[in-house]
Amino acid sequence: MLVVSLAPAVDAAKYAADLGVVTLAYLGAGALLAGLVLAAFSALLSFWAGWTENGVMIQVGRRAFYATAAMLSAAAIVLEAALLTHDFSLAYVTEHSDLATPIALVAAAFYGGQEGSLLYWALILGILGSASLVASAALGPRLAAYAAGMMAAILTFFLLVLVLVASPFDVLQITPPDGLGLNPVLRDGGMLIHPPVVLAGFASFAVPFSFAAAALLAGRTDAAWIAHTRRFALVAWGLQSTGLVLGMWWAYHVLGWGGYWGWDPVENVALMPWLATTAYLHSSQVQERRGRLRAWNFGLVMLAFLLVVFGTFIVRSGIVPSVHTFAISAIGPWFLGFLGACLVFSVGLLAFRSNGLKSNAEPAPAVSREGAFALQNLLLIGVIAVVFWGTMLPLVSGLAGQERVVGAAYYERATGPLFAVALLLMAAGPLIPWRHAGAPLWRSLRWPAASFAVVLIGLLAAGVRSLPALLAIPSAFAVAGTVLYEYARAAGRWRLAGGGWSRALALIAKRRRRYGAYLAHLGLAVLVIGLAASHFWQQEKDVTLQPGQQVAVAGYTLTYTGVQNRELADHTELVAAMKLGDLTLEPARATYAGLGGQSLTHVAISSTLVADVYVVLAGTNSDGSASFRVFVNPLVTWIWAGGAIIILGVVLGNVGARRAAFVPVAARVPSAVGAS
Amino acid sequence: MTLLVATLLLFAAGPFVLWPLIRTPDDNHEGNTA
Repeated sequence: MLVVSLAPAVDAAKYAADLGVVTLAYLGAGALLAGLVLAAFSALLSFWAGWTENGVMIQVGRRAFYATAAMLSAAAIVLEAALLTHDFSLAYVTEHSDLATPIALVAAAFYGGQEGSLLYWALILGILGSASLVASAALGPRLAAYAAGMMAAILTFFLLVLVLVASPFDVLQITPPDGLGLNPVLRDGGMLIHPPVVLAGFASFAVPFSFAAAALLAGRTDAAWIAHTRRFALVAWGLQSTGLVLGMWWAYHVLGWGGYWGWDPVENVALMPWLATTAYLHSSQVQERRGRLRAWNFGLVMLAFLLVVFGTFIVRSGIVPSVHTFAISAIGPWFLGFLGACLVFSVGLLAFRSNGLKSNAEPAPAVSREGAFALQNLLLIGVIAVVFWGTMLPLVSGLAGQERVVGAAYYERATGPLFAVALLLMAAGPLIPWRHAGAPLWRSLRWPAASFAVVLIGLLAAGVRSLPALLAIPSAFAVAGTVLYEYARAAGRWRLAGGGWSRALALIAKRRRRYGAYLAHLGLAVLVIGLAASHFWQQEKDVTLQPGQQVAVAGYTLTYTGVQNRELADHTELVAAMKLGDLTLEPARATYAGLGGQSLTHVAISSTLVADVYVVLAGTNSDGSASFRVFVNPLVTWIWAGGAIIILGVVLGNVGARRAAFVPVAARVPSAVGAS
Repeated sequence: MTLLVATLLLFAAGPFVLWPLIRTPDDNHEGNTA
């Protein structure tokens, strides 16, 4: 070391640069430590100030939360700067980037690894939490203070992990000349959009959880918390929906097995909180309108967050085998402890407040909107249970001696019937009135029923005999039928009122949330049709072709034209070109010499509204022939279109809307009897 | 070094976080001066 420190002055610039890097690491680590202190301070002060209703201290606690978010932002900027300037003295930069990786992907390495993704998660919670606190003035000081305390406590945990066990700012003893680089599978445009959205979705579930817990702590079990919580639950749901669809899209375009959903543990744990929040977004309406299902709603919001923490533990501890590769690290026990603490806290809080959560509204008959929502909730909880035990089976059976794993068949058989009933309910539910159903219900149900019947007859006539397909696709059309019927009714009301643009806008604005939700239903119907068609009618063929030879799959004829090598910046590609009509498809195998010769397949896809032709290059032979796996996947583009329509519905129905002023149905309808 | 940076950052965040306390007049202090 002495020799090194007495090195000639020409190395001064290098030492200055090293010092700069070290300073950057200290700056990031210092920001995280300061954030930890501020988060813990905010948590303790907010709970105490809320308890004593000390207005000034509540504000100080809230500002400490904002300052925590600022520290997290500072740490994020430092990490991003270290990545973009290739500071390989930081272990994180070395492990997740290299000089050859395109700069956009280097920037994306921020959330590409364990430590960085935890920082990203905490950052999103800091930002969304701050936004939710700014918007929480109407809830009263105590509830808002407890919510700040809850979110600060969650951030304290994350910052504790970031500071003590998974710091992105650890400095290497020796600075390597280049990094190890990003996993080749992640070197794709999808890396720029899917992980940040899905991680943000995960992080955002903490906001509704915090407000629900705060409402229970403050003894505010009325509907006031619902409107605020619903808004942020909707943000979480929207992010998670986008994340799930993007994940499917990415898996489909990158992994090269012809599918988009593999029931991998990581997919499952992202699906479960989404299902719980889907249930909540529907059941919360029962509380808004009828004052019922209070304990249930609190339970669902808490369940969604607990599932997020559970999922994080499962994914990051490495205890369940998964294709998603987070390095096994020391954070597993920390998340297990956090999960235990959250579980005990949530169950204890619900039990403690259970007396105040009892509903005094009269029970609704089974055939009513309330009944439909209750059944839909039970079905979704059923799906969560199926997915939960499927995911946990390797762990539970491993404890019993022999590790067992379930495949896609288990999930499809167990969740299929539940999803089918939920879909039928989705077709009927929006037409069932609150409180009770009468003769008009049966009249209005004729539209979805007719859609179902027409499509069913069409499928039978086309020779389809698969029961799941005969149930799923007509049900999805029935959902679309209901939505279109509701839109037609709205158009009828508009015409009766005299028509005109201003009336149309006023009508839409008045029931904006409802029409947005219907659009989301329509999107889901489109998505389900895409899922069902591509699942039930996928065709697949393995072939080995000489240049000039053809293969026909499901009416599509492909001609193999030959193989060529391409040198790219960070890898070489062996491209085997296929002609499909006028199009040239170029499936390839990419080899990354810098990563020990790791290779992966590059899929070639030709998409139309009717079907995708999906070609995977399995290998090339010395005689010039090449082996391919060709899939024809019907209606896959409908899945992506359906996802986009869902998000559009959520955005149009909610963004910029003032809080919906609901008149409880009990007050609006004078008598439940004889209304028909 | 990390501790020093954290302390400096906390010090810098002080005025923002404590602003509600700084802004609120101290009753005793005002009483004494009045």
